[in-house]
Amino acid sequence: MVGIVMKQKVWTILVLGILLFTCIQCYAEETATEQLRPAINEITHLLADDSLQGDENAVVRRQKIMEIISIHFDFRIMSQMILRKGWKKLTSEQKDEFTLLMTNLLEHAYIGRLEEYPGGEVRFLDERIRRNGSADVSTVITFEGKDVIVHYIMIYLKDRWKVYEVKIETFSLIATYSEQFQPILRKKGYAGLVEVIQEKINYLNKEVVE
Amino acid sequence: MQNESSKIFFLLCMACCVACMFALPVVAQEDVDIDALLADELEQSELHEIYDPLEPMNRVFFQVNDSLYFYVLKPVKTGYAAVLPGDLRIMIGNFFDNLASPVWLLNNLLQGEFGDATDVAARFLINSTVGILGLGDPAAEEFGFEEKPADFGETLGKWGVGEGVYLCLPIIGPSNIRDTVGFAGDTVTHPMFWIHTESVQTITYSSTKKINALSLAGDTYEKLKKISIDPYVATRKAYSDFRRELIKKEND
Repeated sequence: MVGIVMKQKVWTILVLGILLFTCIQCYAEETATEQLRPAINEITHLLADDSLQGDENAVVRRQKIMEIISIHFDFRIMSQMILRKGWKKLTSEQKDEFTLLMTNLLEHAYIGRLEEYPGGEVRFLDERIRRNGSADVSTVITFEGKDVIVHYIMIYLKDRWKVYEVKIETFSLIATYSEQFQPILRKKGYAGLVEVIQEKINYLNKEVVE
Repeated sequence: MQNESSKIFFLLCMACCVACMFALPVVAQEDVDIDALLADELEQSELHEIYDPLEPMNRVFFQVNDSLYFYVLKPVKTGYAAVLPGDLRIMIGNFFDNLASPVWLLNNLLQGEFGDATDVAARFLINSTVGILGLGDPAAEEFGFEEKPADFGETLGKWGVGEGVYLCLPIIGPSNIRDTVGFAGDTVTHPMFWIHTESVQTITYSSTKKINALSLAGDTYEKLKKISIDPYVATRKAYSDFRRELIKKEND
């Protein structure tokens, strides 16, 4: 009798072990799309949430969205891509400072664009691994009968996929800011660039608060 | 009993170890080389450089257009949208689109897009008749023929003509040499060009078309300007990327 109970326990443990193994395996093999999908769905729900609608709730709404974005986006790589060759000339303090500035600016640029489609339904179209190893996850957001294609370009860092570029239709966040920053960097240097970005962030922050 | 518990514990540990052994190599995928990533993006950005030797002049016209937008077009389109309901403005937009069908048909044919050309012809026939002079869009709503716009600048691009120097034209806005030639081509192949009207009527037609389109398009320019550090460069980039992608898509 004791032997039968013992065998049952052993089998239970073995089954549990296999289940645990399967779960870990599933997590480990998550694709870029599988990691991004819950985050995008969560953001879509926040944008559609009635209690967070209107300009008066803009600060809280953006804070909640940024909490999700900060897990799934890598603003440091984004900043590096935007500054291109200029990045390597910065000190590590300047790199941190610039990343923080870009996080604030991109928050306005990306969330600001998403806020145009409150309650829009997001569909994941496909995932393509690019030549440089990054993943291009394409989605479509449908709002008032119109489809807007949004590409999330992601890179695998240590233990998860992170977004470092967003392309809304043909509008690329990295390319747009890079194109604007290069001449300023050449003419006014890093300090001049920081000054104009800070001015813009102050203006945008003020607008959200008001 | 204690012996049994130890065995259970041991087996549980073994199961965890096996699971981790198999799982870890997948988790610890090799990181992508950031430098390689950057080099790749850099190569892309160099391929996408915009030739703008007339930048000082373009910036002046950009400023003129910006003022024109905020002091004239925006107040007019706001008033226009307040007076005319959205549905009516959509109908007016349909009418203008339907009138442009000969331009779209010709350019789809020139680009070898015969399927799209057939759709444009079918849309024109259905919307001009059942759709009451193009005001309605039963072609899309009832028959599934979606709009297939095409312009001569796009056609030239598909034929391999380079975009040339970037231009910011007064009133018209961002363009380049190829698209300006294309714009002239589209103008002379548009039915309005062949209808002899007084200049006042022509101006009224063009202004209504522009204001109606703006009232339906929303405030895209304002939004781009708001998040830009240098709106001139941002607009130039947005326009060039949009046109290049359109032509690339046509060529794929």
